[in-house]
Amino acid sequence: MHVKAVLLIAAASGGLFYALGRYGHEQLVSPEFQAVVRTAFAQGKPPAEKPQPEVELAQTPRPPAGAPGQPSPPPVVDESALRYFATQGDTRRLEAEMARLRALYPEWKPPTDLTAPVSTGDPELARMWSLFGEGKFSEARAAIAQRSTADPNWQPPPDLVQQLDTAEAAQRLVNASNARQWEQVIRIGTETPALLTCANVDALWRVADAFVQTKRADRARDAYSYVLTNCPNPADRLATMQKALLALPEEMTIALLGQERSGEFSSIRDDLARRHIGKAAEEPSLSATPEEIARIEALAGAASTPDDATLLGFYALRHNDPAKATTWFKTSLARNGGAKAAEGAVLALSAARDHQQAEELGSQWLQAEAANRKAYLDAATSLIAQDPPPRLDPTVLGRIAKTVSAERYASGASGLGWYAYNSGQTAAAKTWFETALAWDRGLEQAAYGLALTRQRLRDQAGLRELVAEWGPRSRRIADILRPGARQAPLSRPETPRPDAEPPAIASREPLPLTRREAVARAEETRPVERSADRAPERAAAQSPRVRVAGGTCGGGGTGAAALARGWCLLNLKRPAAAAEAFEAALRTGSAAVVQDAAAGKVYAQLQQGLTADAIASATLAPIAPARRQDMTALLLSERFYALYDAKNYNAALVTLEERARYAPETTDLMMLRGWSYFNLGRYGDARKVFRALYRANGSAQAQSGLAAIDDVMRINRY
Amino acid sequence: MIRALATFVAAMLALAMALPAQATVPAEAWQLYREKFVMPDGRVVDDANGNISHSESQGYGLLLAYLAGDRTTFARILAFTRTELLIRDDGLAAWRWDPGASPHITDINNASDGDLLIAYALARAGSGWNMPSYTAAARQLARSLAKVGLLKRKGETWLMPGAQGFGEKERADGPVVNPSYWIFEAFPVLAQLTEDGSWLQVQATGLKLLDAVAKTKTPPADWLSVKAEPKPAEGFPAQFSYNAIRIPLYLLRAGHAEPGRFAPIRSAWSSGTATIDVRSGRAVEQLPDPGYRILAASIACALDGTAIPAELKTFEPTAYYPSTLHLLALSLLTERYPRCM
Repeated sequence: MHVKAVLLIAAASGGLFYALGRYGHEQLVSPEFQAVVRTAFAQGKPPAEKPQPEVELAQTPRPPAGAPGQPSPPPVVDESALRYFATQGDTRRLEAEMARLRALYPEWKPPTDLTAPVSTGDPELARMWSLFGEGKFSEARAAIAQRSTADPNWQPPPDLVQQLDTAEAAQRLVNASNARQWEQVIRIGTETPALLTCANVDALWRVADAFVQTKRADRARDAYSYVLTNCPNPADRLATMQKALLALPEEMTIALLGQERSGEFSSIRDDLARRHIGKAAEEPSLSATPEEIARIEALAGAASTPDDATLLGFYALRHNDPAKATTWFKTSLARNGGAKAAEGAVLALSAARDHQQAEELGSQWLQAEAANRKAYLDAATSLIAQDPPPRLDPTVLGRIAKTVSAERYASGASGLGWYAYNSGQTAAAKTWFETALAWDRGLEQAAYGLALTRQRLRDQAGLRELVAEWGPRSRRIADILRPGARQAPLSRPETPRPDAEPPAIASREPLPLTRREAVARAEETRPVERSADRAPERAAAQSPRVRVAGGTCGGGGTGAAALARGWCLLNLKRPAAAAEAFEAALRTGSAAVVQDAAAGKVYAQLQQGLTADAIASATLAPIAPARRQDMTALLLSERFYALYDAKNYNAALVTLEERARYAPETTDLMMLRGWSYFNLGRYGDARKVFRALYRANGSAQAQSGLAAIDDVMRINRY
Repeated sequence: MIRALATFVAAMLALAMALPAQATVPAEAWQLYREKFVMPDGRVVDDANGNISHSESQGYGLLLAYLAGDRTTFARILAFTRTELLIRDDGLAAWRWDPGASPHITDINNASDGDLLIAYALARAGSGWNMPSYTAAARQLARSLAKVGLLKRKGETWLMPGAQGFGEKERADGPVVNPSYWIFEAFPVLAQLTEDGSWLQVQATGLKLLDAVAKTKTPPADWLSVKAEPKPAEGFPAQFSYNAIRIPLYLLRAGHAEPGRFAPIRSAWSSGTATIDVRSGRAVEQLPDPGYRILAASIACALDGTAIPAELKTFEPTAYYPSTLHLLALSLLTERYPRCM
C-alpha cells in the first residue's frame, strides 16, 4: 500500500479515536459500523489530501479525556441531562442518554427519582438546559459563553456540552444532507458517533443515503444492517428496509431480509415480487417466479385497489396470455384503475384478437392519456385491417376516422384507405391514402395503396408519377408498371418467411398485409385489367362501347346497352353496379349477349371479392367454351390463393395441378408452389422450383427462397 | 525563505496582537446593531435584501462581535453559521440562506469574502480570547479556502470569488475577480495561522491590482477581468458600486494607506459618496447613508487629517450593509486614527 494511503488511514483512525476518547467508549454504534464509516471516510478523500479533523468548535475548553491505563476512582456521573430529559418527558433522548451513560460507566445504576426536578441549585444552568431542550442551541451556546466570560472559573457541565455537540451535529448533518453534500454528511457521521444511534435513526438513514449517493452501496448496507441488528422500533425497522429496497442492489436487499423478525417485512417481499413482475412486464425476456406471481395474485384478489391487478395484467399481456391480461385489466377497471388499466385492457383485447371490443373500450378513454389514444389507434387499425373487412357500424367507422384524423395517425389513415379500397370505395380510399402520405411521406403501404387506387381509377399520369417517386424504394410499386414483373407475388414470401426479405413497410403495421397482398395479387391476376385491355376489341367487334367520362356508363334498356354498361362499370371498378347491369343483360339479351354477360358477371363478382359466388356463376352460366377455360383457370387461381392463405398447402398444391390443365402456371403461382413445398418441409421440391425460377429470370424472391431453404437445412444440421 | 516569511509574519502579528483585545466598536453602537440585525438564533439579517442571510453577513457579524468584545453574541452567531452554512463538502460556507425557503440554503456555492471574514474573525477571537477551538476552526477554514479559492497564474495569486464560475475555463474573460473580496487585514493573520505564504501572495496581487487600476485614474469596478490588463468583467455593470466601495475601508483597516491608491476614488467622490460609472466617471446613484459617507470621511481624515463630521461619529442603524460598514469604519478610526474620533 502506498505510504500516503497508510498515513491517511492511520490519521483517520486517530481522529476517530479522539472522538471516542471525547465521548467515552461509545457502544451504541457497533465497532463494525464505525470501522465501515471510518474506512469509507478514508477512502472518500482524494489521496493527496491531508485528512482534516472536523471543525472543532466547542466553545469552552474540553474536559480532559481520561488517561488510559490508570485505575480510575468511582466515576462521578453527570446525571443532569438524564434528569432534564426525564422532567421534560423526552423519552427518546432520555433512553439515548441512559444508554450512553451505561456504556460509559458500566457500574452505574440509573437513579430511581429521575423525574424529581433538577436540583442543581443553579438557575442559570437550568436555563441552559431549558434552552437546549427547546432546541435553541445557539442561545444555549450564547448562555454558556456569557457565563464563561463573567466567571472565568466556571466550566459548563461536560454532559451539556456533549449534548449540544451532538444536537448541533444532527442539525448540520440534516442541512448537509438536504444540500446534497454527501462527503460532509459522512464526515459528520464519522466524527459524531453519538449521533448514530437508534435514538436518531434519521441520521443513520441520511448517512446511508450519502453512501448510496457516493456509490458505496456496501457501506449503506452496513448502515441499514446496523439498524436492523440494534434497533427495536418496528416502524424504524420497516422504514429502513423500505429505504434499502429503493437504494441498494437487490442481492443486498434480499440479504438484509434475513434480519427479519417475525414476518415484519412481508410488505417488502411483496414489493420485491411487484418489482420483478413489473420488470418482466416491461421486458418480456424476463419472467417472475410462480411464487411471486401467486403472491401478488393473492394480494390482487383480496384487494379492492386496482394497482396489483393492473400490474398482473401487463405481466400477462407481455407474456402471451392476453385472456388473463384482459381479466386483470377488467378487474382493475372495476376498481377505478383508470387510464392505465384501460390502456392495458385495450391492448389485451387487441392481442386476443377481440378488435371490436378493444375499439369499443378504447373509444371511451380517448380523452385520458396519449398512451390511451395510441392503444386505441392500434386497436382500431387492427379492426379495420381484418381480412375480410368486418361489417362496421357507421358510428364506429366515424369515430375511428375522427380519431385517426385528430391524431394524424398515418398508419390508421392508410388502414382506412385499405378498408375503403377493399370495400370498393375507391374515392374514399384515394383520400385516405393521400392523407396518410401527407402525414408520413415515407409510408410505403399508403403509397402502394394509392398506386393501386390510381390504377383502378385509370389515373395513368398519377400512377406513373407515384411509380417514379417510389419505384426505386419499393419493388412492388415499381412492378405495377413493369409488364414482365406483374406476375411476381410481390410480398407473398413474407407470409411464410417474414424475415426472408426486409419488408418494405413498418413491421408493427397490423394486418393489412395479407389483405393488401390479396388485393395486389388480384390486381395482377384478376381479369379486371385484362378485360379492360380486351374491352376495346370486344366493343369494336360486338357492341358499341360507351365510354363516358364522369363515371356514368349510359343508360338504355336493351340487353346490348346493359352489357355495354356492365363492362363500362366494371372498368370503373364499380363491380356491384356492373353485376346488376350484367344481370339485366342476362335477362334480356340475345344468346351472344347472354354469354358475354355471364362472363361479365363472374368478373364482376370476382372484383367484388365474392369468389364463391363467381365460381357458382361460372358453373351455372352459359359461358362460351373458350372463355370458360380462361375463367376456370382464373377461378382455380382464386381457390389456390384462398387455400394458401389458409395454410392448407397440400390442398393448394392439388388445386395448382388442376389449374395446370387449363392454363400454364404463371411465375407468381410457381413461386407460391415453391413456398408451399417449403412450408410442407418438402425442401428438395421447393429448391427445384426456386432454382428454376431463379435461372429463368434471376428473381430475387426465388433467391430468398433458396436462402431460406439453406437456412433451414443449416439449422436442421445442428 | 520559510524562515524569512515566518519572521515577517511574526512581525505583522506582533503588531496586531500587541493591540489589546479591547472593544474598538463602541458598546452602544454594537447594541443597536445587534438588536436590529442579529437574531436570537445567531442569524445576521440582510434586511434590505429580503431578510436573507449570507456567509458575508455572518462573517461581518462575527468580526463586529469580536471587535465589540461580545463573546456571547460571537458564540451565538457562530453556532448558527456553523450549523447552517458550514456544510459544504469542501468545508467552506454555503453563501445564501433564505428564511422563506425550505431547505434554507438556496445556493450551495461559496463566496470567498464570506469564508475569509469567518476565518479571520475566528482567528482573531481565538487568539484574542484564548479560545483554541476557534483558532483550530479558523485554520481549517483558511486551508480549505486556500485549496479551493486561490488561483496561481503567471506569478500572481488571485482570490477567486467562489469555488466555481469565475475561472479561465468557465468564462471567456476569466479569471474574473472582485477586488473588494480582498479583506487585507485578514491575509497576514491567515498566513501566520496556516503557515501558508500563499496568503501573502494574495495580498501582494491584490495591492498590485489596485495600483494598476489606480494608474488608469478610474476607481475599480466591482468585478474585474484579469485575463490580461484588468478591465470591467463582461456581464457586470462597469461600476464602482456597492462591492467596491468597501475597498478603501479594507485598505485603511489593514494599514495600506498609500495615498496614490485612493486618489481616483477620492476624486470620484469629490461631490459626495456615490456609485460611479467607471468609464464615464459619472455618479450613477448617490449614497447618502451615513454608513457610506463615513467611508469618504475616513479616507479624508486618515490621509489629510480632515475632521470626521460629528453626526457620522454616532451610530444609528439604517440598513444592514451601510450599518455594518459604519461600525467597521468607527472601529478603524478608534483603532488606528484615534485623533479622528
